[in-house]
Formats: sequence, C-alpha cells, structure tokens
Amino acid sequence: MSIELIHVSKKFGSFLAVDDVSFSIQRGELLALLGPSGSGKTTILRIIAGLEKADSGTVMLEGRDVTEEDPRDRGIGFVFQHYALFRHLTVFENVAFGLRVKPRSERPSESEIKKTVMDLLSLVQLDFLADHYPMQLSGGQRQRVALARALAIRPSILLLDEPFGSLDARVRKELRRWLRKLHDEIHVTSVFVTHDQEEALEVSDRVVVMNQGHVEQIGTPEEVYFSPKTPFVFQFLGDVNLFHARELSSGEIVFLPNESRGIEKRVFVRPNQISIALKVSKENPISAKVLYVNTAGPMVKVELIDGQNNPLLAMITVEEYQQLQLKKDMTVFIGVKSHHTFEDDTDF
Amino acid sequence: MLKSYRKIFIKRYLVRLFRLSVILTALCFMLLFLIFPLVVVFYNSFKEGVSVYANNIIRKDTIDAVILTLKILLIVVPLNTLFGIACAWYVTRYSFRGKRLLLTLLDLPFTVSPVVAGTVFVLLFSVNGLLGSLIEKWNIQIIFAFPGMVLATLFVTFPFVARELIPIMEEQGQEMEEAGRMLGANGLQILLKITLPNIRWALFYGIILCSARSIGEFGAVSVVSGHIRGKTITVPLEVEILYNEYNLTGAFCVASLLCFIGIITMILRKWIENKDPLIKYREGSRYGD
Repeated sequence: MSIELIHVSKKFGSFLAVDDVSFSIQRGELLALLGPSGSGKTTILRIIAGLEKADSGTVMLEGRDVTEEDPRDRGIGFVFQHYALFRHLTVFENVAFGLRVKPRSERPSESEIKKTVMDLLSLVQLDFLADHYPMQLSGGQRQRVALARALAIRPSILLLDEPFGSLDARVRKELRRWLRKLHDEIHVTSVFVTHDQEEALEVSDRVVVMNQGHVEQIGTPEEVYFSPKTPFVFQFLGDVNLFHARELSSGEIVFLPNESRGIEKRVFVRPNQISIALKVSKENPISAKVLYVNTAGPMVKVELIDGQNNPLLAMITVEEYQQLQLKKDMTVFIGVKSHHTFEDDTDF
Repeated sequence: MLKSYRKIFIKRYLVRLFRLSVILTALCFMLLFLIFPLVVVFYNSFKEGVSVYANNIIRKDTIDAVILTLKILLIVVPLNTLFGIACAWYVTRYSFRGKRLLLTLLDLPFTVSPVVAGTVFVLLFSVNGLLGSLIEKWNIQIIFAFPGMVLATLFVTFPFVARELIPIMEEQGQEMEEAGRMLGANGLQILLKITLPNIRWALFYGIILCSARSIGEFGAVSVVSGHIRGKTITVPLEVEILYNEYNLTGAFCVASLLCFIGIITMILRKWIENKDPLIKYREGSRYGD
C-alpha cells in the first residue's frame, strides 16, 4: 500500500518535532527514515501509524485520507523499538494476539490461528520457542517475535522503529540482511527508522534523510551518498574532512592558505579521497603532520593535522601505507582526489 | 609496618563491633515493639482457656461487629479498587496540569489524622452541618450510621490500590498497550488482556492492604460511628468498648482476630512476591539484552 504525507507538522509543547514534511512511499518499497536523535523520524512513523496525531497536514494510505482514522483501522503492523512484547504471554500467544482480538465474525478458528502463528514463527525461525516467555529470549529473538506478531494481522504496511537499535553489532548486521531478504519475499510496504547510516544505506530501497524535523533529502542510497544535496547529508552519511578553500572564477578550487583570489568556499572531502605523499607536488600541495596511525582493519586510518591546526582523517590502503612508511610526527603532503561543494553554502 | 597492620586490625574490629550493635538494636526493637505485643495479645486471649476464648468470639456483640466490619469491607474495597485502577491509569497514561498536585493529594489520607477526617465528615453531614439541610430533606442518616462509616473508611483507604499500581504502571510504560492497539484491540480488550494481567499481583497486593486497613480502621470510624451497640460497632470499636468496660480478656480475644488478619496479610504478601512469574523470570532475562 502506498503512503503519502502532505505538509505534516507536529509540536510537542514548544518543540517543533516535525516541520512541514511531505513525501510519498511507493507500494512494496522498503524505505529508511534516517536522522540523528531528535530529528523527528520516530514521530513521523508514529503519525503514519496513528499513535500520534499531526497538528496539521494529511496522511494518505493508498489514496485514502486516514488522518483522523483510529490506528486499529489502518491495517498497519508496528514493531516497537523495545519490542513491547506482552510479557505475560508466551511467544505463541504474543503472535496470536492480533488474531484473537478480532471481532467474532472475522476471527479465524483455533486451528487456523495455530497454523498461521506456527507458519509465522517458522518464517522468523523461532518455532521451537513457541511456549517460551519473552523474558526467556535473547534480544535478537525478541525482535523477530515482535516482527512475527506485527505480520500476523496481514498488515499492508509494516513500520519498524529503530528495529536493530538495542542489539549488539554482530546480531544487528545479521538481522538487517535477514530483514532485507524477508522484505524481498513478502513485499509488504515497509518503513524503518534508524540513526545508523550504514544500516539505512545497506537495507533500504530509498532513504529519507531528516534533520531537525524537516526532510533534507530523499533518494536511493547511491543518490544520497554520492550526490548529497546539503552539507548536513554529506556529513551525516560518513566521516568528512572540511577544508576552507577558495574557488576561482574558473571553477578551480585552491586549497593553499595564502591564496587570495576567488571566493571562500567550504569543501567536503571523504577520508578515502585524500592522498598522501612524502614530497610536495601539484597533486599533493598541503603539508600536514601525522598524529596517529591505526592499521587495524581493511583500510589504514591516518589522523593528521594541517598547517592551520585543522584535524584531518585519511584512509589509505595497506599497500600505500607500507610504501609510505608513515610514522608519528612525520611531515607529509596531502592532496584531494575528489571533493564536494555546495551552492549557497554560507552558514559557516 | 607492624603498627599499620595493627591499626587495620583494630579498625576492622571496630567496624564489626559497630555492625553487630546495629543488628542487635534492630532485633531488640523488633522484639519489644512487634513480637512482644503479639505474644501478649495471644497469651491474654487464651490464658483462661479455649472455651472462654470461643465464648468471647461467638458473643452476639462480637458477631455483630464482625458482620458490620465485613459489610463495610465489601463496599469499600471494590469501590477503591475501581478508583485505584482509574487513578493509576489516568496518572501514568496522560500528562496534564496539576498531576503533581493530584499525586500529593492522593497521600492526604496517609498524612492527615483519621480523627480529622472523621470530624470533617461529621461537620459536613450531621444535621447541623454544611450539608445538613439536604440530609434532612432527603431524610437520610449519614453520621452515626452505616453510610457515614463507609464514607470514613473509603476516605482512609483510597490511596492503597493506586499507590501500589502507579509505580509499576509507570515502569511498564504504555508500549505494550500501543502494541495492542496496533494489533487491533479495542480499549476494553487492552485493559483486560494487556494492562490488568501485567499489574495483577500489584493490584492484588493493593487490595489486600486496602482490606487490612479497612478492617482495622479506628480513628475516623470512631468519630462518625456514635458507638451504638449492635448497630455501629466495628471490630476495633468493640475492642475499645470491652477495654473500657474492664473486660480485658474479652478485649484481647477480639483483638486477636485483628492480629490474625494482620498475620494473614503478611503471609499473603510473601506468597505474592514468590508467585509473580515476572519477578521469577526477571533474573533469567539478563542474558537477553
């Protein structure tokens, strides 16, 4: 089912949590709402679910205005951040809950309920835990029970609030691949909230990047990563080095501090787009001092400080590192392989 | 070197001595103020034999007092249970102006002397009181009658259930209820299938405390009762009457009934603490998240 938000705003007291947000989600899409805490992403999810009422604006599901509709009637499955499993019920009864509370006329028979629940539990690979209580499960297992429970009512939309937020790093990586696979199997329109850019870029079809209650950019993971529209998006999606350089009228960027032609410009550079050389050259004009080298990992991380005492982070391959023989306090020359600037970037 | 070792040794010894003296003081205190009075009550009730005890219990006045106490209990406890659930729900599920004030007011029966409460009811509902004209018009008797005693007991016991429920409902938050709503449950289903099962032991405990206090209430009830023999005498008032008539054995026998209730309350409390499966699994859940 498609979802459409039109000029939605929401205040909590004097805090503007959601500021005139409009976007739409296609049927069958897996969309990530990405942003730092307090950016309004969870509030948007709760407004779609109907758990929160927007102060103004419209929520449409499949072209139907549901702004005033009770959450019970929206046919939405919701997975809560802390799972919100019913702790007095077994895993089986947790999943069966949505079927058991249906009005008598729509309620499936006991054998149908049993079949549906066991099917869902095997879908999330937890059928062997059916008669356990939530408190006996691990975090990842609880998460999957919560998902099975939300799917039991055959929702046309699935909303997940920080679905992997409280899991440890390994489990969350496993689970998010599994979620992607599951989505490809059942194709239910899904929206999940996350503050982890890696998670959003890896799992989703499209990403909505949010900041301070408004949408910064909407696009595929490739679009938001490689063509960020605002400095915020660039900075939020990965490590970044910030240079104050000058842009000449020819469009050329000059990094040297003693340059006085052109206009001042903020230049954003990813750590892996910085090159390091032992000798000064046209490609590597900026002198810097090595502060710290971290070789643990697939890439070598080099922390440097340039002539204006700006800290810099570079990522180079192990081969480059071995060639350069970098040591602490060594003076090197760095260059920028590719960079990003923004039009009208004046707030610095 | 040696000197410092000795210092440490003496210090340890002093700490141990201090700990022991604190424990002993606490023990003496409990013995003197809790165990000893209980022993005295039971000793004095039974010292003239079991038959005297039984006769004192099945006296008409005692039976009347027990029946009246139970009648008050049966009205007060259900009402205060409903009030407690509603109040806890309102306080923990909604934020509103004056919430703190409401919570403070909830403790009023704990902080105000019951005698004051009783007196207020007398001033309000007696024939010469503020609402006296209404009372006379409708020709109902509140003060020095059963309704007044119910009112006084209601007032004194109303915080118990709410006070037990508020912290536990606060801690649970409303995510489970929201989950129920998203799964299609209506308000009543959420209350019966999610909220109540999760607070059932706290609720049960609150009801027990409320009942115990309702049975044992003396001050407020004493003021509004008027001490009419066979009509407005509850068990605690009966104890007082017997005591004032120098029937010490009788007084102790009836008092022993109240002690039994106190002891049963404590046993039930222990039982509830062991019973709650949520408490049992709480330990095992650590490996979870």
